[in-house]
Amino acid sequence: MNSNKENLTLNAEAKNYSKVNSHWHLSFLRLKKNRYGMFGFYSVIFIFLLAIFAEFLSPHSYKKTYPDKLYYPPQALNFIDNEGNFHLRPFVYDLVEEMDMETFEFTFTESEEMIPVYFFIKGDEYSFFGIKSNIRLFGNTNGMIHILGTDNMGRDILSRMLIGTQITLLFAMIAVFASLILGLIVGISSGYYGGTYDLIAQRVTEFALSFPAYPLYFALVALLPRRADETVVFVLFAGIIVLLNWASIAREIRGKTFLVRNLEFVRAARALGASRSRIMIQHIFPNTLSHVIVWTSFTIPSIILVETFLSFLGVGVQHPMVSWGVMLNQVLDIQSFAYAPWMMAPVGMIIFTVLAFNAFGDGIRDAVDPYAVTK
Amino acid sequence: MGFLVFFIKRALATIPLLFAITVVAFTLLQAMPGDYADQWKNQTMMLGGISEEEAQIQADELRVKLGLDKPVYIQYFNWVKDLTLYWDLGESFIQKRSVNEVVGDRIPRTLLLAFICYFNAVTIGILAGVYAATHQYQIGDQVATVLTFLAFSIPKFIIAIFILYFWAIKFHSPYYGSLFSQEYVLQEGWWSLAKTWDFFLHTWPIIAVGSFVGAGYQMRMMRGNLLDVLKMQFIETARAKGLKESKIIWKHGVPNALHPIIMNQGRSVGYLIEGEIEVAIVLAIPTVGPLILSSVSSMDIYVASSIFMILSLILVIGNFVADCILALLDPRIRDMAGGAA
Amino acid sequence: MGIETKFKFKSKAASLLVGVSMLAMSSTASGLETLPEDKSMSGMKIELVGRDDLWTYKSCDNYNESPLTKSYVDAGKLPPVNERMPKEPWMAKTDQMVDGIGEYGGTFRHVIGGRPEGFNWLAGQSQGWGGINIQLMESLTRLGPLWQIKPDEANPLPNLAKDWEWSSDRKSLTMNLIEGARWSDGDIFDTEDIDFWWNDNVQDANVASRLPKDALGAGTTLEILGPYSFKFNFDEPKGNAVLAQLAYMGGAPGPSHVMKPLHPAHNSDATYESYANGMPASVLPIVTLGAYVPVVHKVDELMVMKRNPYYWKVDEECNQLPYYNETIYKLTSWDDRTTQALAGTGDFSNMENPGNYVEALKQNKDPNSPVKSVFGTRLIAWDLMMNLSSDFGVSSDYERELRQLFRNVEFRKAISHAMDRDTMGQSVARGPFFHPHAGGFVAGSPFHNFEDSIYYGYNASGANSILDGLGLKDSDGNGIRNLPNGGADLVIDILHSSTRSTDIKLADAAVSMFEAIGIKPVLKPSDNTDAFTDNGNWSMFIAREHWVVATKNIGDRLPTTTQNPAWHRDNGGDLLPFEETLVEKAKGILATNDLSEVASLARDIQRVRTENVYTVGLIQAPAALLINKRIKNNHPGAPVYMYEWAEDGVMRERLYTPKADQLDEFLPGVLAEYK
Repeated sequence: MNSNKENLTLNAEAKNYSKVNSHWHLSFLRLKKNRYGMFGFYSVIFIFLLAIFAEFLSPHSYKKTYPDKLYYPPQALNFIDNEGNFHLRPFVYDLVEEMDMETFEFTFTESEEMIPVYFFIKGDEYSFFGIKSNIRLFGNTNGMIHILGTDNMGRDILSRMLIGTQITLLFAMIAVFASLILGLIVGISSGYYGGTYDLIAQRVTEFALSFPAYPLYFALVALLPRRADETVVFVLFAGIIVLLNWASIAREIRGKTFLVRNLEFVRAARALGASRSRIMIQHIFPNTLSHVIVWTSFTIPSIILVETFLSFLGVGVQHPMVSWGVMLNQVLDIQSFAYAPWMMAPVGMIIFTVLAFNAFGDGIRDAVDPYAVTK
Repeated sequence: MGFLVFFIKRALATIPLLFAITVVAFTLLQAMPGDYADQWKNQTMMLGGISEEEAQIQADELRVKLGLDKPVYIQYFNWVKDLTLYWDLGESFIQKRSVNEVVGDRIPRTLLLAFICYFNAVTIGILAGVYAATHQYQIGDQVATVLTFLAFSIPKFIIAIFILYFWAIKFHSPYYGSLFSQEYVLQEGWWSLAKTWDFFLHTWPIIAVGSFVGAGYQMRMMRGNLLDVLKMQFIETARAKGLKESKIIWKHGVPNALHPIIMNQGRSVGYLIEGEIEVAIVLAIPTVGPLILSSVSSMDIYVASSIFMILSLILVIGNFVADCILALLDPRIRDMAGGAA
Repeated sequence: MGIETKFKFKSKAASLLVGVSMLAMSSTASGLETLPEDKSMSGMKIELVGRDDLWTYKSCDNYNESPLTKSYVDAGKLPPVNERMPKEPWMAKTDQMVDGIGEYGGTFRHVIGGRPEGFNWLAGQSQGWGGINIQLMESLTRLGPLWQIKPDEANPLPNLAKDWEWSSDRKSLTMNLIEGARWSDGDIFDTEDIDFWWNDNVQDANVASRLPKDALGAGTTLEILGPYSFKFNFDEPKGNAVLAQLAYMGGAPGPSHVMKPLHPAHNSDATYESYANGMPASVLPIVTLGAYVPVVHKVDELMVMKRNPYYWKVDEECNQLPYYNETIYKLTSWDDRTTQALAGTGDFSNMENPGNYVEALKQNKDPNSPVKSVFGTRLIAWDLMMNLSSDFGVSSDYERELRQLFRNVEFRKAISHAMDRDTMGQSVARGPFFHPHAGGFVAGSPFHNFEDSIYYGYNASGANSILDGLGLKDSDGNGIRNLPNGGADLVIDILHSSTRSTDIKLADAAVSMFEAIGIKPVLKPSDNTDAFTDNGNWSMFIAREHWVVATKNIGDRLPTTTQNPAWHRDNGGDLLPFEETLVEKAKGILATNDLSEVASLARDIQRVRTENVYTVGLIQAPAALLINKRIKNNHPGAPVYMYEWAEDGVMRERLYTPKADQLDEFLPGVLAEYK
């Protein structure tokens, strides 16, 4: 429900007004007042930092297996040892495993051996945007430190979860932005041009919107080529997600475009001889930004959830790439669930991330809506 | 008049859409390597103990019998022909009965559960939304907000796994793994209250998860909209005039807040069915979800294609109804669609 | 807590030995390491018995029946039990019934993942597997209970055929049916049914019968000698393999009095299509010789079967079997079978997913647990197979080269050395469940010997040196070996099931092991792996592959035909030398009647197979039967699978529940009634 008021504000902003009164600045001020929105905002930034610095922050390489230490439970960080002494440097206790001879259940007890946590250690090598490095924030190359325990091949769960953040987020970003670009192009152009082109575009959009998502995923996944390595699968999988997600934003944008294209300033621009593409890019697109931002911040978590479910079923991201869903794929049987519940750690990460994006999206939506009167 | 034109135009446009979807679905399934006869062969070999050669002969015969050796477009054409002329969706290879029956067993259950979830979601969500908006920032609102966020942040299949573990393994519930208890499963005829209750005892996870997540969405929307509406000029006027607060909320606030919510209902049924799929697959409850997975993976192509079509139909109808309601309520939409079309 | 000892069970020593002997072994076959012996988990010494110790055929003066059938007799709906029995019913010997004579009543709950296609098993229709087929399809001979029989007497057991005689030149086999047994509707079972089965189904190429036309040999004919005896005449001398073919599923006759009118040879209006679908799953009750008759079928939910009043088996006190009045089959999924058994809502499950073993054992300790799990010997195994076919499914030059590599025994040995089986086993299920597998017979098989299983154990450096020796160097320095002469990177796709957690974990474990020897694996999970194996569209495949009985399914594991085994399809003219040896030995097994010769040939097969790494054996584990504690006469140690699945091996007709623990029937007081 927009009117001239907002658009005048926008255009005026572009020309004359000082930064203090710009729409975006005002929006940001509104956002700041929304506690959940700010929580979301900071959390999202935190998650991105985790993703970017994933390797640096993990004590081990996510691929490194420890065949002697399968299914080890988390080791708690301590500052005070058993005798009550305080240590400045945190440490963990080494673990000793024992097997019950009747049920073959394993139990772990802390041994006396203290393993100190060193910082900025020289650990396993990794490459950071092409630069090779092996500095890791914390860890211990001589002793075993697994804050979140190990998985079925003895790999450090914390490290895998951090890399999973990278992959999951990367996947969601690629899928969302590709959908967005496609959706914007179709939405704005069909809304602006109208006519037969719009008719066809509308039908295609409806077609994409009417496809039941999961059945399509299941069917398409079976078609991926055999020796395609995990990167190719990743890209193709993202492509499949894009196919079903571009339509909803296209529809919204189209609606918005309808409303905007008939407004005074657009007609004026046309009369002045501005080319159609210039109008679409310079005038119509900026007006859709609030929709875009809101849609993005709500679609990212929904894509994360879909990717997680499909990877959990085994048909999403492939080894050796690690996403949170892939980690959960290994919890398919009762043993893992009951006896190594720390393998479910990615669930916490998923909830936190989705929550963060949703809170942020919620806050943004409230903030950019010009009709939201300050509370 | 404008509305009627709109209605007819949209209805007509829907039919080719459905067929386009079935073409894609059918082709996709065929593009997958292997077919049902291969599956049948390997299962027979493993479970029946006969040798590969013997099973292959029978599998080839089966292939011819089921018409799987004909080219794709002929198979599709036959299927569509049966569908339009006789309402016959084909035959399920696995269950050896008509797809109409297979789907006829599952879809009503799925829809029943989806509607129950929808009803719960809308009722709880809207009431909670009103409560939260009118008690903004108080304890009730905070709790509701947190719950809402959790509702759409926890993956549904994770909730399902937890339910599976506690319900089936830890508590050895006798209700796991079937749709009805012993006394009711063989009862023909119409459902009694007791039988319905028994059904819920067996399918409550779907209802619980669906209602929880759905209510989250509805509540959020309602709260946001109502808050906006309550700050509008005319509400202040009504207050100044001395109208009772409850009347203001229920007679003036809520109806206006509902308008944008109705806009979004089109997708709601779709979401609910998808959510059901996740939970049903994990808990092996025989609704549409597990059927999709099994028919796609076992190449029971008529079942799979029919489900594609039916689910699309549900989604399309949902969108369609939402658009119609919207067009009824908002003349601008009518014009816009009419003008562009 | 309160645990006794620390348990370390990895033996690096054995692997070291292999390494040493590997490098020392260049051309001699001696000094090869064999599979380390395992401690069997079942800890059970199974007492093997003689052929005649399980059952016999004997008549009684008077028979006893269940109260349920008695009520029908009293109402005039059934003839008295003495008139329903055959002349000499099959009689179970009490000695071998661990809980003795049973009590009538109650229901038995199966859970299965299959669905009934229809009841025309003569035309190849399945009723859903998981025990329901076995129950309905009584056959001429029986294999299941052979797990209990002493190896030198382990020929097929009598069932519907109570005895038989070979001619001296072994070119004809005379079989005698049990006399006076009746189908569940009262019709007499006689050679008319055998005639219909053989001539109108097996021999009729238009009918997809389970027993293929030439299964007993081309040119075999059937001669009816009398109402209860018949003779097979063969072109060449035959062995007991023929009798094995006449067990479940191939040797199950159908009710000719019901089915003849549906068959085109006896009804000009019928077609083969209408015949095959002539007994649809929705039309009940049907006629069977089995212990139970299906009476109700609710699709995707339930199949209810009630006792067969004409069942031709009794116990030594002349009580008509079975003991349970009712058996139900819940129609859900295979995984669900185990979950329901653990939940106590199902009575019987083959537990084949080692990830669930600890939970099951924990339940064993809990006195309130509804199930008791009994672990058997190691019977399930997983292999890594390489596609040995030079041509089949090859779509590029790269793949062609890959196949040649696979056909090189040194390469296969290297792969075997790269597999750290101990870690693999632990990653699938922690504990002592897994033992390395060398391929071929599983440790629990009566044909298995440790000394014949050549084992190329974990030795990553050994693997690396072999691969170096094959010219597979990393020519472009990216950490992955290349094909000779600056060829492509060695990238190998590994197919595996996406739904079985054990397969997923094995594939996951294999990834790091391959990378350690410079090969880049690309995992290819699929829920329909057969689609790929059928077309040869794969390179490596990790799956279950367990061979238990030498005489069964030889054709699936050895290249006795051009289409088998799955890892060497389309092999006409493509056989490797050792494969030809295997074929010779296999033919020997099929031709002989001497069980000790079979055993000796099996040993040779095992040796040749493992020495040449036909498939790379990975790990093997025991399976367990989860049986509800209410069930009595459940012989401990019955294997999940050996000569036949446990549903047959456990002899369900002897199972019972004491009155106090019986569960209510779904359809009390009801029996099948035919119009």
